[in-house]
Amino acid sequence: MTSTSDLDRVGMIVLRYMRRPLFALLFVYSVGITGMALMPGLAIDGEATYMSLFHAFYFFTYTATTTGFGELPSGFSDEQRLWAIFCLYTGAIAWFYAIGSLIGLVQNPHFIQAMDGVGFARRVKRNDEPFIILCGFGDAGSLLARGLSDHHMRAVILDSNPERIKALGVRDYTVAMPGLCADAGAPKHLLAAGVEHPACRALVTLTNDDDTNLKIAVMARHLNPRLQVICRSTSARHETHLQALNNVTVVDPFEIFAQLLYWAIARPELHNLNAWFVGARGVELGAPVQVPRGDWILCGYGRMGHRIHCCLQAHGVGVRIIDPDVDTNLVGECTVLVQAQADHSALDAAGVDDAAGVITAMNRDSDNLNALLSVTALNPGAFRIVRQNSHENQVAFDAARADLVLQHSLTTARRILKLLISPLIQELIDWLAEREPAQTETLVTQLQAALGAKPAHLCWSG
Amino acid sequence: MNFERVVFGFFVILTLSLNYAFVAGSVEATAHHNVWILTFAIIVNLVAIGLKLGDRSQIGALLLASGLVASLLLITARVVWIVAGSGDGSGPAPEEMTDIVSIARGALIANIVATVILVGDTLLSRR
Repeated sequence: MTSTSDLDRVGMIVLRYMRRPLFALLFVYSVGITGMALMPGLAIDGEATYMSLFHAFYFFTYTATTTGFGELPSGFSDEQRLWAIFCLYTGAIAWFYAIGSLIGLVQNPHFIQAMDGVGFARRVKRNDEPFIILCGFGDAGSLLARGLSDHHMRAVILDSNPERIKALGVRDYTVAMPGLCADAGAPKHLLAAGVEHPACRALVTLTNDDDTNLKIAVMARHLNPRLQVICRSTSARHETHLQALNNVTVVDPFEIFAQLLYWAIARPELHNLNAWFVGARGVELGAPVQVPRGDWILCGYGRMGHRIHCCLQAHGVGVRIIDPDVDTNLVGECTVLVQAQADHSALDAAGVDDAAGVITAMNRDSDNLNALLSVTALNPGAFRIVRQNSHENQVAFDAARADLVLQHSLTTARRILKLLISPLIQELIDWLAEREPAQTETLVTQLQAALGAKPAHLCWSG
Repeated sequence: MNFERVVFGFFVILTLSLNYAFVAGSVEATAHHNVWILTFAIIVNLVAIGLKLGDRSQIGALLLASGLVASLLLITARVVWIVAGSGDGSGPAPEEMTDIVSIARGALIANIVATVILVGDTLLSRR
């Protein structure tokens, strides 16, 4: 049995629903025209004339559509007028009913979705250039798409939220990026997106739900074993599943954020080199931001804060925590802990006057900016690192003029872009992280000698 | 005994009968061909097409196709009749009548094909 596509099925159903309005129209037309042709017209020379069938059809057409030219070709007799009254009422009603039904059918959401799906699959199939499949078009997804567009790599985008696909429609990218509103976990949508296409380079899944990401990675691995898969995951359980599949790279946004934060605090030359590689604005190679030594205050102890704390503690940086909901047992001893919202009094209690800097890592931008204001008021000399959650608040964060703003969706997108374009850069950075800072500085001097003031531009490898 | 099949069979056979009733007789004689019969043949043909919209089987597709052919030809014949120039109201001239009836005979073939498919399908299904 041949498999019917979505469009075939929905198309058949739409045609079937068209029957009733078409029959209504046909019935009313035939009764009206027959009657009109049978009614005796005005007598000419004593002999009754009749309207021909064609003239009756003409009259009925412009009557039913309420155009109403008049009594053509000649005036009507009274019997004809009686019948014309009947035609008017039934014809107009049948016509409006038919038009309304037909328009409603064509706007059937299933029909429109099936048409979109077919058009999308056709665009993907016709494409010959290398492309990336991107599942999930949230903050990280759209930042990654922008990065891919800047590097002239096409992408095919799947997202289950129709608003995000509409937002995709109004973006101006340098390359074409078709998008479809569909559940990326369903294999038929992955196939439509080109997971088996020879020109597909990689599949990146960046949805907010770890279970969905795992499902997409597993489906993609089964459909195309040779395809590189990059999967976003924040839970350790999923990560163990994913490491078991080969050629799947797991990207943990919290881990990346915590790592970057640690490098910003303790290895500024490495952070500077990394930022220069990804082309962050306002970064000059060899001019790392000077960060004071000492204890740090961490505001916010959710999943991200916990990861940051572990990372910093493992490298011997003293941390004081401010969070209203933190569990004392998880934190461990030798840590100053203030269980309150991050406001003036809490910052005072944590000793903001002698801290080297403050990290505001809460998951609401308003809280972070608020805490930032308090810190600036209490200790203007402290080094302020701020976590930005949502891309749409960019303007506020620019105006706040913190010393360092880290946006986790941006860091995730940049890491994935590095992995896609030139994976060796990430290996280089990781290698340098394990070695002494002097080696990083040697490399920076060599790069400066070779490139001067030119910015880095990553080229696609392979 | 399926009501839907009765209705569809009725309309298919009726359109074949009306089509034959229209084309029967000498090709040129105007008196042998009645415009009312042609009109009713067109209407019944459109009904038969409507009944086959959205039918997913292969037989349904063939019946829809033959119905579309027949209606195309019958409507063409009717249009030729309308624009046939000789005399207002006294019907077409013999030459034009020939054209009209020839086209309608073509439509008859399509209707015969549809009826044969319908009967054949019913006989072969053995239920």
